[in-house]
Amino acid sequence: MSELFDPGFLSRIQKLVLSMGITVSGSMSGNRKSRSKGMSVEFSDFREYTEGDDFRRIDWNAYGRFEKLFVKLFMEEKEAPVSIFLDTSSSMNWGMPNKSYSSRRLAAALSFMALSNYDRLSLYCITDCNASSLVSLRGTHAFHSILNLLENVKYDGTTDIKKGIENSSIKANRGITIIISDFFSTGSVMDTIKYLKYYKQDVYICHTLSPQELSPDLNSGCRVVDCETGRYKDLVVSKELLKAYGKALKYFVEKMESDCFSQSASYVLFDTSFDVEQIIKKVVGA
Amino acid sequence: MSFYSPLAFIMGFTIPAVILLYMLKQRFEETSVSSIYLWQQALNNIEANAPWQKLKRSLLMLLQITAMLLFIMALANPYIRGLSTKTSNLIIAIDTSMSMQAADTKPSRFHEAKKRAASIVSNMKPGSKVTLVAMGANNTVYESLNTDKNSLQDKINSLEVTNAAGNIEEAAALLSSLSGQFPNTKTYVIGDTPLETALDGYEFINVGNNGDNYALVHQAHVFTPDGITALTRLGSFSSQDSRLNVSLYVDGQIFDSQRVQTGPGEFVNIYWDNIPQYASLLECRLESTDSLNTDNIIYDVITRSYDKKAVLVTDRNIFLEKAFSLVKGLKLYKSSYEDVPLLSGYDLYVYDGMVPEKLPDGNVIILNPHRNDLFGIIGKVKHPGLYKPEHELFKHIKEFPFTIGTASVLDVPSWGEEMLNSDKGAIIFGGIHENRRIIVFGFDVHDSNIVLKPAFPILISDIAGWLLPDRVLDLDRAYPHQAVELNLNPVTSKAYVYSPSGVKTQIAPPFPSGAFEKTYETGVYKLVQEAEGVLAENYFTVNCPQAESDLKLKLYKTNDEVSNTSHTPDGSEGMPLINILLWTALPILLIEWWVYSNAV
Repeated sequence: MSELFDPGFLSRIQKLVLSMGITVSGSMSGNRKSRSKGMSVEFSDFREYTEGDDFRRIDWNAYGRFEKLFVKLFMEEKEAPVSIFLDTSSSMNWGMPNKSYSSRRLAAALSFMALSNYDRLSLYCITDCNASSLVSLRGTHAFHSILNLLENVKYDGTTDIKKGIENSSIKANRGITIIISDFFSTGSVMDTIKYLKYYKQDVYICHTLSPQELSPDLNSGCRVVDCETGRYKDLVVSKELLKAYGKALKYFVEKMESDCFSQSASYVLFDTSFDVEQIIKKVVGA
Repeated sequence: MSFYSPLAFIMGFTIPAVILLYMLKQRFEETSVSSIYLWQQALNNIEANAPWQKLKRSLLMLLQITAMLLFIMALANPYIRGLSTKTSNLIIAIDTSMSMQAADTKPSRFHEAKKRAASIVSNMKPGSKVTLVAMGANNTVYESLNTDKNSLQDKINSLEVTNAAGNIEEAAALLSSLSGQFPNTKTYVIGDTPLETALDGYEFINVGNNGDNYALVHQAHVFTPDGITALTRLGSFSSQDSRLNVSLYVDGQIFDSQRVQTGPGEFVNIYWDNIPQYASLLECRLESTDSLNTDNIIYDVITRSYDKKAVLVTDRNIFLEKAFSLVKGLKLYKSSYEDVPLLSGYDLYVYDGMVPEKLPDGNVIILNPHRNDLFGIIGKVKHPGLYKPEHELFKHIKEFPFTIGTASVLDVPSWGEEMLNSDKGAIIFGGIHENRRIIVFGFDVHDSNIVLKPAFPILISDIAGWLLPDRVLDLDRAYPHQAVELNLNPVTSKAYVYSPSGVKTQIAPPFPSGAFEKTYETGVYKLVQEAEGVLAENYFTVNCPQAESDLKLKLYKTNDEVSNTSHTPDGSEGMPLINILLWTALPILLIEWWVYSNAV
């Protein structure tokens, strides 16, 4: 077990349940309510008997009352395809606490919860230069693979999230997609959400920002260099500039939030100074 | 304080460069951030992305500029004049010429020159001997080898500027002579015109300041049927186009005014027509002020010639009679030898073949004289070999050589000068004796072919002009401090001159009067001649010298001269300040480094 994922952390997340209140479709049975009617004990609906139906599922009480044959339908529980996209560009390896640390813990926690709930998990570490992924994992025994991937991931280059998602193996099945990123990236977030919605995904946006990004503390004069592109800006830090930065940040967050809202996606601002458990509760509660 | 290398101040252009660098955005410490996206948005919001920023007060910048100024000053190699350790003999020459009146240096160049001279004296090493020279038309040693500072200060203060033109060549010769007397002599020339030749230890201190000036440089008149037409010549010694008002005053009353357009370095002729015939004094004024106001006024006296009377005493000389009758403004009378004692009241007496026992009351020509008491006759010669005459009166005869049959060789008296010489001696002489102008011909014109020459009537006319001057002053123009010869009447017993400010100076007796030297002021001088109780008044003018009106020409010349002649590499004439400047710059640089390191 590494420093990134200590035993205490893992035991805490085991207690959390990923309950997203959606139904999924698929062939493998799981812990999710499905639109398919199957063999579970949970009653779903009635319908008239048609030729070929299983006699055992005829509700004779209903026949007694209505003199018509009705068949009982039960909810079939199925697995949910959960896809987690973790931005591993250079900008995510920045801040104190480091965004890479917090975001990987969040990804690990969400992965563990998905595997614990018998969901089919895919984890994608997306970057333009060094992408890696694990797809279609089931069961908690696969969690060590997740940890292994997250511990060895390299943060480098820039990220086009939409492109990264397009290159993934997402199918047109209902599922859950979680994107963990600072969204200082190329590609429109709106287009990304639309793309995922097209593939019938419930989208969760974990907008990861460090305290230094939320409230910068710079010297009176400095040259800020973009760690991804190397581009820079000379700043004479003043109250006016900090105020303008705060205004730009607020607009950035609010724009993300409104884009998500308009596409029925969930948005969570992930301040890396907060505990991951708190964020997970926010995600689950979202 | 002076500078050995003033060209180093060209480096002053680096100061704005430093300020410019501070106006450029400063170099910032690099800080890595996840993204500059939000900063870019923030900068766009406050529009602070311009390449220049408002110049802020910066201690670093001030320290850097101070250090740079000190380095530039050090490059200019300054020294404090007068704090000498070696020089013990000083010559201070102050220009007193008219251009020193210019007010382009406040309050005037001359005032500034005296101030500089006083400063040198007050700073000089105790025991230094100072020779004070006033440079002007006459370069005079005002004080010699004086060691008393107070006395020297008084002498400097008592110096006065003149209206005269400077004589820089003579000044150079005088200063060279003075400085050569003692080794290690430092010569300061304080003025607006440097010496043309460099002396050892010479330093020129310029007090000029490139002033614009306009001057009235010439005034003349001619008589016309409609009256008098005057000409005024206006000179522009300015670097710009100007429109100037020029007024003419006739006998003290304004007559006319004209607006004149001039360009840089131009001379403009202004004509004034229909001036009344009775006018006697023209005064032209430039109705504006410039750097030098003295030359903004010019005077012209209108003199009228009246018919003169001449008497020809001769046995018979048709050539002389014809020649004199052709002289304009001269009425000729003829007389015989017998009537000589009775003759009086003529302006000119022509004695042909005789010499009067007593000089008449007018000017005299004597031809073919016999022995007499007035001058001596050495002897008679035949066919003398005539030398080419050099005298001004014979300028037209030069081209018409003539011969003489028999001539008397004349013994030229002390008051006369030879006008025509031969291998045997003087044949013609002239001069002023007992206030009379006298010319003596040692031959009979009948015994010479001179009378057949076309130049003979011209010679007679020129002689008559010299013998009967129309003006009291022979010169066309007289300038301040110029000694002028005044033409007194033959019968004048007493003569004196009133200056424009009314100062009276007696010039005769004794006779001959000699030159009048007190032409210190510009303006109209009055000559009063007294003869047998009757006073006769004549006027002449003294105007500003044109050479002094050009304030710029000398200034440009000055800069070259200063750089060429005043440099003394070992700095022995003043206390060098270069080390002080460099040692001052060092702690400033250290402070600058400390401020930079500690980000104060």
